Amino acid sequence: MSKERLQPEFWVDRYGDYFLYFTLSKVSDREVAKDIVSETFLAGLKSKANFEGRSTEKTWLTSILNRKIIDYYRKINSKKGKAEIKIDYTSEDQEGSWLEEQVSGNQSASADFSLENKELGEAILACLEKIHPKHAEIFKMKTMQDYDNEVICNEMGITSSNLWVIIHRARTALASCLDNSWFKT
Amino acid sequence: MEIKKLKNLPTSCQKVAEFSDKQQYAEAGFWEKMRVQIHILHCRHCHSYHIKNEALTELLQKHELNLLSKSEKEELKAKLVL
Repeated sequence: MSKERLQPEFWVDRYGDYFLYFTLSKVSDREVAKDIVSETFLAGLKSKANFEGRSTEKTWLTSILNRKIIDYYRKINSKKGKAEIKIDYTSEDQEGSWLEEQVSGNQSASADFSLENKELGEAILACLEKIHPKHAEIFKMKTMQDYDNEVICNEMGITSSNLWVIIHRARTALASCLDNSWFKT
Repeated sequence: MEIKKLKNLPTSCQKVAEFSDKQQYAEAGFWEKMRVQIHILHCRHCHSYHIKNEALTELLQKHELNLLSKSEKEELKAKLVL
């Protein structure tokens, strides 16, 4: 089996959206989430010599991201004061549990983030990772970020009719992927 | 059913697929919507495509994804100094 190789030049495009989404499910503030994602990529870059290729690039980066989220909660915990935050945790040795709980599912920070929504979002992003990167980018701009057709065409260097062909291909691929991953579960 | 796979089908199916896509973004005109509706009455392929297309739109609307904008991605890339 061939070992995985790191390709930092594609990290932002490949995992940026997924990591932001993942972080937002643990931390409610978008700016904080963006900073955590940025720190994750930087930490990955710094420690890329430690990557042994036994897991996928995404799994390796996700573990760094998880640690960064724990660090964030550690930091705010020390700033706000332990009594205020750890109301349900009375003994010192329970600190680890509190942090784990925050990372595995923060109820107070994002109460509206239901499990079904989280899973659906992850399924959509996983399917988008499988389609042609340029098609995925154009599809995201058009469908999720509401860019004007003209802006998309200019930025991506395509014609208006090309845009609709790409949108069509992306929608078909996404529908078929979600058919397998989401609708069948 | 992709447009390229529709090559063996009448051109009208290719057009209807495009109009169906435009309809998902509220960019189809009245006659384009009419053409889709009339066409799917007698075309099984396009009917199935249109139904799936609407289901996908509904699913995507149900879940608004908070993504990085192009400029935010550029900013991140610049931080990584690649």
